[in-house]
Amino acid sequence: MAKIQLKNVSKVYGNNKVMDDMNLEIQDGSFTVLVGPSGCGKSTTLRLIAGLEEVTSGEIWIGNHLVNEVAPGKRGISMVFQNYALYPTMTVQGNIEFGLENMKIPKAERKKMVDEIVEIVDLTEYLDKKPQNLSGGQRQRVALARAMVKKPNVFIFDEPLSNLDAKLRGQMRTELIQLHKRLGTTFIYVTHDQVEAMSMGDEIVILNKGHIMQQAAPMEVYHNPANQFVAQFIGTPAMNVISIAMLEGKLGKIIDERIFYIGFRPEHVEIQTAEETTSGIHLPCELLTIETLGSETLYLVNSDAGQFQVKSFNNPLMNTEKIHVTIPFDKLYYFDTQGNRVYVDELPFESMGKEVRGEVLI
Amino acid sequence: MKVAKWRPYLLITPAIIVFLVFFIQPIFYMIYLSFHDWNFISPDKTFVGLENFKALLSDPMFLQVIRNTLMYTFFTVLFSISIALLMSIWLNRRGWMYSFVQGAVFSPHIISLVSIAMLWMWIMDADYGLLNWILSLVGMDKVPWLTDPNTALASLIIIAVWKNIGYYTLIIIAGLQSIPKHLYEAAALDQTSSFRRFTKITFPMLSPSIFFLTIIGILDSIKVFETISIITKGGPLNSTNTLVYYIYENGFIFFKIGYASAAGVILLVILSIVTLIYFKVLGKRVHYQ
Repeated sequence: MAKIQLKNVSKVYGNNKVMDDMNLEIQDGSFTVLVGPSGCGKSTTLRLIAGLEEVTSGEIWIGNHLVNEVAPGKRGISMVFQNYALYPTMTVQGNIEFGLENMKIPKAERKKMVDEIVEIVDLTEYLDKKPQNLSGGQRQRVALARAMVKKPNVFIFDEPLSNLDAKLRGQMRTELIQLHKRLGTTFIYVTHDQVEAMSMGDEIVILNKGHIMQQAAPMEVYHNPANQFVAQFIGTPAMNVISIAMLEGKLGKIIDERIFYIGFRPEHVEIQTAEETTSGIHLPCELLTIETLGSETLYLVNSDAGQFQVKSFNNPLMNTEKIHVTIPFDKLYYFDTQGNRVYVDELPFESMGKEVRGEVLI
Repeated sequence: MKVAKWRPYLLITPAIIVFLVFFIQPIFYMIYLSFHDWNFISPDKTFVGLENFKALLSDPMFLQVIRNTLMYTFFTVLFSISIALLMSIWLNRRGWMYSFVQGAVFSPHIISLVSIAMLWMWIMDADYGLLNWILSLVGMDKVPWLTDPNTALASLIIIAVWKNIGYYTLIIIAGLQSIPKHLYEAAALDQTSSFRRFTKITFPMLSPSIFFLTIIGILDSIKVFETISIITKGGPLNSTNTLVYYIYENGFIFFKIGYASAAGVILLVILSIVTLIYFKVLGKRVHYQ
């Protein structure tokens, strides 16, 4: 079995440093998702682990082996590519068998292994077809079968679902989760889609510009983001982040000098139906747009503190122009000038109480 | 907008007329002539039925011409493609030197065949030629490249290969560059040896290019004329006489028009078969994405 470690890994292309001194540990048997915007280095990380690229400096360990000098095929890794990378001149059977033939596995045994795998991925009747005669979902399964048949210690997925339509993607997502449960091997999965990351991974690594922003379980990343980037990357819609300058004078002075931004999630904002006072920031807002999504409703509102989004699970407020919202104090996140999280023990405001200052209730 | 039914036909009429007059009519005229005895000048064309064909097939010289043509075609195509394949694999990388070599091997393709013929007549001259001078430098005997019946056809094949490889290399390099990189990455993860990487991935992916080159190579070689006409005139001892030169010789030197036309019909049949194979095989055995 294999735990994967990247120690002080850097990768430079020409003058372009895409990865700088990265340290990453992927636990054995985990379903780790690398997620981040394009160009964040997530695919590079994957290709370095697979051995398709060489590190500029640093060490990569798989299990107890330093694999810097080990050829891709000898690392015990199988990879599923974004565009499947099936061999177009071979049949489905040929594609799945190719790696086994290279390993000089006898024909009878090979046949047994292939039959077993195609049974699992439901491709038995397509064994003699060429990839170009298959649908996207079927090609995806062939790629999966080709990876599985080698019984690797680590599976690597490079945005494998991005070429499928939404419905099929959802279906494959659950199938991959089940597959992981069944095989128990390490899965490393790259995606730029935070929904995929949240729903599939038991560990999420959020990358930006070649640096790890946070590595934690999905709910931890959601509830306890380490910085403004993670806060705004995870969750739909993104967390609202407002500069304290916009709130200053209305809230009373913020005593903690480190704090520069305040963040809150759209789904935590409460829409006031009556003039009641709960503990939080009260803001009168103007409704700009409404997006009804069925189970929930998204509002874009404008207040003295600027524009932000509100997500509500109540019935949509049609024909309404002005609303009052409350942002509960215990749902506030604080960030410094660099966007790093500032952890506070008590509310960092100068004066507290249920009095009106300006138009804001505290 | 409604277009009159006859308008498209009107628009293609000029092209059709040119096609009929200059392509279709000569073919039928040739077939017509192949059944006649005619000396190009006399107003009488005597109908002789299949006599011309009978004479051709029992003429040992014609059989030798066919053999020469097939040998020339087979070896020219074989060596052109094999050498071009090796060159492409070597040249398919970045760097000014590779671009330079690629340009250099392509240059024969843009030179006219007549110039090429003149150039190689000098290179292969038995007494003053470049090749024999080089051989003498390394202490080897002179080779009578173009003047010995045993080496003349091989010499012509060398010239044809020299002219072909530039273009062939270009086509194969284009083929190599269109192979997606991720296939090689998948192969690397599948522990593929470099030999199997070539035989199982590169070569099958190149099959459209190689098939295309084989067909145009065969068609070009069967129709070889310029180099033979200028360098050897079919000699020595008919060792380099090929089908098209034979047709020319009979028609325009010996004025046996009927006989030449019959040979022309045989050439037409051979070329049609090759073309037919091209269209039949296309999309079946060859992989296209």
